[in-house]
Amino acid sequence: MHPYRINVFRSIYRYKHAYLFLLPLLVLLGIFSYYPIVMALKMSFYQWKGGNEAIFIGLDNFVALFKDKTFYASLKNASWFILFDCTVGVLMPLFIAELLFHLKSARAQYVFRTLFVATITVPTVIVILVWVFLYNPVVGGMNSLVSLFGISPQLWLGGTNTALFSIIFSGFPFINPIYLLIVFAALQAIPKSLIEASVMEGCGTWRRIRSIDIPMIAGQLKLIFILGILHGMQSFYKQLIMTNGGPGEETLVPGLYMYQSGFTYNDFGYASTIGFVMLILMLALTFVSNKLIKSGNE
Amino acid sequence: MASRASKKVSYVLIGLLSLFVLFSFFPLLIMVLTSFKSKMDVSLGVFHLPNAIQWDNYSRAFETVVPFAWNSILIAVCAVAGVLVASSLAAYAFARYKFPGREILYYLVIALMMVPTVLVLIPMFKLVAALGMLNSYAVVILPQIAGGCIIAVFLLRSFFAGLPEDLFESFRIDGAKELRILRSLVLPLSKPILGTIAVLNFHSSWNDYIWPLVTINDKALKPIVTGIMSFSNDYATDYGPMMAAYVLASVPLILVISFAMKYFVDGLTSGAVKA
Repeated sequence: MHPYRINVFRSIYRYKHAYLFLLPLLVLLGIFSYYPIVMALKMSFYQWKGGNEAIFIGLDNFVALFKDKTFYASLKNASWFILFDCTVGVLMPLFIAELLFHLKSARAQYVFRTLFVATITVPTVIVILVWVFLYNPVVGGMNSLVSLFGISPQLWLGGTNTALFSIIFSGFPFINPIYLLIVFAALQAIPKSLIEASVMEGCGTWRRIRSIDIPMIAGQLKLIFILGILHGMQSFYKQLIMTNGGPGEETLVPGLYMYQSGFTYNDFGYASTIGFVMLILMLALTFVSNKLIKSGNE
Repeated sequence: MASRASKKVSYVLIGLLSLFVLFSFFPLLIMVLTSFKSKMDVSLGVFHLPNAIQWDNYSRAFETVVPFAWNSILIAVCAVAGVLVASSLAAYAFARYKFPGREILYYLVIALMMVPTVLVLIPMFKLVAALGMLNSYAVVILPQIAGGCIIAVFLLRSFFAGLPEDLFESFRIDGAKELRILRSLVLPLSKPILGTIAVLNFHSSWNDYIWPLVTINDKALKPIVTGIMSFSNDYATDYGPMMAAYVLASVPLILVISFAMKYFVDGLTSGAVKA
């Protein structure tokens, strides 16, 4: 045997501890991450329904998907969620973080930050269920609330024109505590000297936010912008709980369509194809926004 | 003059922040308020105060929620323990040994952060079904361990790598076995970051919805978040006990996070700053 080979084996033996320590992790990830990823990509090329054997059908699933009107409808709906997640979903945490940052008292900062983070202690699903209750046209409060503004009673989640908006609005006031923490920590990391210099130069608050704060935390804003895209593209538990995609296809999103194809219609091959296409779309959107925001900075 | 103006500004800031805190808590306040209402009071409208506080709602909800809560606690504790053990062993290996294949194995682990969960939902379901794992605790615990380990390895590896080499030397001279170094030297020094990992994983385990929804049908094994959905369906229009159940379902998480708020905030911010 080649001496180099022997060395490799010798050092593998020497580090047997290290491999032993890695074993539990690698076994778990092999079974529950790598195997499903490979299968997801492979099964997109198979017809795989119910308990039947999977049959290789090449690109047929993809061809069917690209002709599928329901899929396009779901993409159109998802684009609303994405649009919202990367505009309001970025601006609100930024706005609140700036308010917090301008508070003089460190104690008040701590109290408000804690209060915003405290909302995370209630499971997301339960918050959604409370919104479902609020949107109930009879006993929920939304109709009496909007009547104050002279708006007639709505069906909310059941209405063709209101369902999508109602789901989006259930995120009100759109302050994701995790994003808030990220932006706030970034603001606190701006060198004090920079801010003091701007004050000496007679730079107003608004100007400072625009010319110092935002450029200095651009990395974090970009991160939550991209997280917003990914969340808007793949998240579907709200739609599943609130409307199950209805009425009609008004609130169907690709993730939910995949879920329904798999678990309601037992068409696992087609569901895998939807997952595959979503992966490509997410990678593409991330890539494009990465490029765009970078070129905007330079 | 200037100080009066700045005082005015801080009142405005506090006013605005209080308003947004109120907005953030709005659904939760509605939940608590409704949980005390009788059926009659609920029909009077969301913003009406209850005529008489219905404690009975809570006793009815309690019986239903408790078994689900135990399931969730068991699942979350096992998942957290599993993540801590598997990730600290692996992170120790990545941080302290220069074994062949270290780089590539590390990137194979970290690259999984990029993979959306939605992609693996269907094949993972078929896999656990084929393994006969449906309707068991293991079916939710094991994938949560695998998923939680990815970020945990990332955080722990950089922490372990930053520990001074001298500490290890003194232990090695002592003839301490590797596992003992990990247990009695490295882990005690890493308590804060282990705390962060524990809280983050407890939170995500408690919140997990879609995976337990598709893998556990047996009512006796359901965790709280999916269990409560079946409860909602049983009490279709009886909102008082339903909201009481939602309040109770939030209690364990509120306890854990209020005790560990510092770890939670530190973890979320430090992870982001490093990224």
